[in-house]
Amino acid sequence: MTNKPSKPDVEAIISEIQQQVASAESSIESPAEPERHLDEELHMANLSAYAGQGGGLRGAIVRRLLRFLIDDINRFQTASVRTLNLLAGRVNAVTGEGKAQVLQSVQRTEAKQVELEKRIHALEEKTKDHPGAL
Amino acid sequence: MKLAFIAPFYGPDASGGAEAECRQTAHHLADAGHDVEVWTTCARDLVHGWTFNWHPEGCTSDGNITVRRFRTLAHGMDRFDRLHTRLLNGDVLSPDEEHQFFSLFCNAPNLYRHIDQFAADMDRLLFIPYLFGTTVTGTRIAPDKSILIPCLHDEPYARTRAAKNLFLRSTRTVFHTQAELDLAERLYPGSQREGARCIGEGVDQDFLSDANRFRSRFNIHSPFLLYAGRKDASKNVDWLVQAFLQFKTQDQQNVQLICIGPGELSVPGSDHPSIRDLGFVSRQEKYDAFDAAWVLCQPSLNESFSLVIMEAWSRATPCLVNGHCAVTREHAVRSGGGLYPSTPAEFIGCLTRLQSEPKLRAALGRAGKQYVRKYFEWDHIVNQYEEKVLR
Repeated sequence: MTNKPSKPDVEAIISEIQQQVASAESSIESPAEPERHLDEELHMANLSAYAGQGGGLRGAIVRRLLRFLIDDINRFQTASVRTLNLLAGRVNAVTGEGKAQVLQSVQRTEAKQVELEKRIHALEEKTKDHPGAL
Repeated sequence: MKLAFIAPFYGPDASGGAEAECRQTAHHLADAGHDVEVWTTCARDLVHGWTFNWHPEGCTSDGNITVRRFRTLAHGMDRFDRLHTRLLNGDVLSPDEEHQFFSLFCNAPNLYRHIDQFAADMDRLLFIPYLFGTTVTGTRIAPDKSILIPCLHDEPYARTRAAKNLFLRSTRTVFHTQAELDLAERLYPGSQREGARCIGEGVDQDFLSDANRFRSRFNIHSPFLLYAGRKDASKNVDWLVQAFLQFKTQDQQNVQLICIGPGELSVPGSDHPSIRDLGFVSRQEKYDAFDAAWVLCQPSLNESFSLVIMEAWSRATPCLVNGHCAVTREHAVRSGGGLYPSTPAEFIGCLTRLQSEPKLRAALGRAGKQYVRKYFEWDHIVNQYEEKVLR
């Protein structure tokens, strides 16, 4: 192969990336009221922790709700907002009709996520009211 | 040869076309006697996000392949999402913004240190696909050993400076089709003078299938068009449904549209009684569906290869692709195995002709099958890699 460039400084490259990430973290616009985290897996991890600790009837209820949530998450795994955003570029880019279709899908998915958020919130409220049970 | 594939996600549970291609190609090269490793992150796939380190860090094996996983940088996605939305809306990011965007797009510092330390021990590093930090950054570390398998689409990421620089510095690039290579040449003029290799992608063809089993299992007794894949707008399924509904106004044979794959089919008109969404089906059921289908429809506008039409052709099932998609149209033209309508009216015309000319349908299917056998058998692809890419 041709055009062999000089060896780059990997630590400098990594440092640049880390600085950019740190800068991004500090640029979040409303740190006092952060956006609710939409990462389903994080929610799953938290809820799994609840369910894992729980015993008796309350634990069973949480685990049942958890299974329900897992089913729900599996249904729209392929259509999360972030994924749709990523896939949006794979529609014929930003031309009228394709873009409108993607936006409609995003809106539909956002509605689903809001619904899921509500369910998760209700579940968290339920467990909060009964700390002894978990 | 000692080879390392470098990919953002890897494993049997990593969904996505590039991920499947990476794993399959790695395995077939290992089976051909190469010493193959995969250097990847702990993230599972795009659906789960790259900041969630799903797999443990460290070394495991996947058959005869060594898999080394490295943790990705943990960070919030707020800034990424804002930049991403702007990019998808057609904004041009400033150089600083673009730098930040790719810094937030799946980076694993210890992976880069590993490349730096061990690239000298490897003969070639194969990066797939083009848009993630693992490739954008990773290819900077040992450029003389790096080979790019971009899976390039005509999309906003492809029009960034980072993508342009990536292609300009890549001395060897593996494309799936001439259309993909032409796109790279159009976006990054002069980048593909000597190092471009157009070799396609391997396709499993030795699977068994049973059309009657599929018909019986799902109680389907009329001829049907098959759609196989994700059912969201990015795949242009809406277009297919609308064109099919127009076709139904004149159809006398009770032709159905059968959809398989993930996602909900929730586009207008999809509740028509001749449209059935079977949802997820097993791999075997998918192969049986290819065998049973009258024709496979691939309406997507942006594909870098389209494995699904290859799988249908391997069962001698003809394909209808979107005439506006350069990649699938190229396959249809080169193979003679499919038709490529660009409008619903043309779609109806194609279907009507296939309905009235069963010999044409059979001839298209045979031509598609020969095309897949000739160009995309794994032995041929491995040979192409050895002769044209790895040397």
